Amino acid sequence: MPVTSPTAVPAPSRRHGAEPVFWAVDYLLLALLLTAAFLVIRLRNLNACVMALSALGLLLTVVFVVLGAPDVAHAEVVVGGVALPTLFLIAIGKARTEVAEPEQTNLEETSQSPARSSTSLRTGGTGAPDLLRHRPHAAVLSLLLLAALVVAMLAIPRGARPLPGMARHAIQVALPQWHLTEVVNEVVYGTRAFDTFGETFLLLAAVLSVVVLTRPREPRSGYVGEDVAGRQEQLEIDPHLRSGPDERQAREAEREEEGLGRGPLTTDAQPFAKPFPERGEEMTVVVRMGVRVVAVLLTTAGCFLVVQGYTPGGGFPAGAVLLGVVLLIYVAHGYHRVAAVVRPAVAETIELLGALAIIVLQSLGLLLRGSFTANWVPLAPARTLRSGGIAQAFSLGEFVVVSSGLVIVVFAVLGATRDWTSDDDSADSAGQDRTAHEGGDES
Amino acid sequence: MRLVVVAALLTIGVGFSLTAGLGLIRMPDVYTRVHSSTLAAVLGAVPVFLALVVGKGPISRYGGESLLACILVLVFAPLSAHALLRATYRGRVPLWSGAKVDQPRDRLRGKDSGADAGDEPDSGAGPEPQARG
Amino acid sequence: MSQVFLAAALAELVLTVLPLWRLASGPTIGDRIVAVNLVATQSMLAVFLFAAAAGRDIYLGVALWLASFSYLGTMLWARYLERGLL
Repeated sequence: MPVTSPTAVPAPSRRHGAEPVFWAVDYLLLALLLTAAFLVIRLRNLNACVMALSALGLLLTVVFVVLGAPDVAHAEVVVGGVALPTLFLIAIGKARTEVAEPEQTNLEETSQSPARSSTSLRTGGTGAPDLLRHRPHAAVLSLLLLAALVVAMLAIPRGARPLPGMARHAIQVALPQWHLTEVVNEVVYGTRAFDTFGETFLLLAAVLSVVVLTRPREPRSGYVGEDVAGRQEQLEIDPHLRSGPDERQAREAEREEEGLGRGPLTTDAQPFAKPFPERGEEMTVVVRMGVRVVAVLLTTAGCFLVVQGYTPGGGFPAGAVLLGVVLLIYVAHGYHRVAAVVRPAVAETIELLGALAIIVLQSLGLLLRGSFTANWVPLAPARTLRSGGIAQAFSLGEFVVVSSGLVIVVFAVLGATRDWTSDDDSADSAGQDRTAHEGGDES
Repeated sequence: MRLVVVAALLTIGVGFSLTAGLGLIRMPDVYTRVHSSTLAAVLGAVPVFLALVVGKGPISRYGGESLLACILVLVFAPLSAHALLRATYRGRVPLWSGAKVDQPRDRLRGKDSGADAGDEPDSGAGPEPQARG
Repeated sequence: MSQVFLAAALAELVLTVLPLWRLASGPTIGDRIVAVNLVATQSMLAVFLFAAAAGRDIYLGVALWLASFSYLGTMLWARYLERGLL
């Protein structure tokens, strides 16, 4: 994630380094991390790999906390915890309908009833014994990596070592010049604001590329479910497409097979033991009620992250938290509940307004104080919500850009449909070749 | 005194976490695994939060964040377990071979055919097989 | 007091081995999901206890997000499994 790299500046003083027991946590975490990484590369099942990857991210978060870098941990937990599994899940879900699944039933006995669910729940998990059957060169490489990691672990600066010059400078500057007690925020949004500025627009470029790649041919007003609405509209324009009840029923069943049908809105009324894939857009009443409680709490805590300049956090983690809240509501209630905000017109406008606000904010420094990214806002006392001057405003703008950008990316990928028809008819076969190739790669 | 209370609470919490891990390892099918690990994980988390409140004082950042995390865990854990098990059940993952009662499926079968669901041993409890070995 | 908290944090981290084993060997996808969830819960507790042991309350926010995002991930998986698509 480009945005977070300035936070990799070592956090000040690892105060607990002198105590002897803390090293045990370090080495234990290193071993767990290696185990999880091993699982990521050795598991044969795509879903299991994604899960091992999120376990790796979780353990990595703990490592960052133990090493005294809660800012990096914040970024890691939101990237590894939300953005990465979500995007992988969407990708797997999108690819699976095209790609012939390899034989998936290794460990479980074959099911007596063919599950019509397109999701194969019986994963072909290669068990732990298979993990030990690795090739020799891989073993050598792993041992080398292990040695490198051990050396790196031993070379981690302990509390007794002097801090590097950059960290000392940041500590000296943070409180007097910026009234910020959180040094990393001072570095990201104050001293090195120009880097963050550039990275914000790097993110914007990435979002733009995703939007361009996933854009359908027709203009659309929402990300998900547009094809269903479009089909209805087609029916209204072309009434002769509407056919008799039996044919409509057959079409409905066919669409249900394809996973496109429109079921009831909620899942509550359906018999629980029916095995077909769920059609209802909302999840059960239990989930909806709980999410209604939790979403408020999480939104509040996310706002706390962005407005408090003297705790770790800032715009980037808070933006990802907002993505998490939007995803939570989407998961529980379906797209129609978030459709008012999460549609291309609104989200892209918010994103561009945030970017414009950042440009204006930094350029005013050039006008008023003579240098780009200079602080022109009068400084409030330290440890208040307004402390930090321009840094807080910059963080807020970053929050807007990152949150809307991530929401755009996730929902654009979510709503992306496969449209392999090419513009000219001659290249049509090439497109089909490409699908076949992708199928080969996936399995 | 406070140290003793904290140590006792932490022991309870870690003990329940151990139970959760063991249940995840030893239970025979996915339903019992989710059941044991989710319940025990919540039971393992709450004493730890209590220990933090006792050890660091309720009016501190530890107390506040512990309360928040406690609420989140207490709401989220049943929620996610419910959603996960519902999805798993509808995906026809088989129950443990020793399971006696499969209430939803029995009920469905009773509604559809009414033939072989006559002697439903409805004890009010779900399938609760013991760990093997 | 600090040593007690640190010992408990270590214990929680040691206990993550059990869900990692289930993650490696779990026959169904639900097993793996709940294993990751348990890893997250125990990591959250470890971060909480580590923050108390190191005397740094600014670490606590991380633990909060660790837990809640892991549960969100579980619900995402559940939706994906029920519907085939996210």
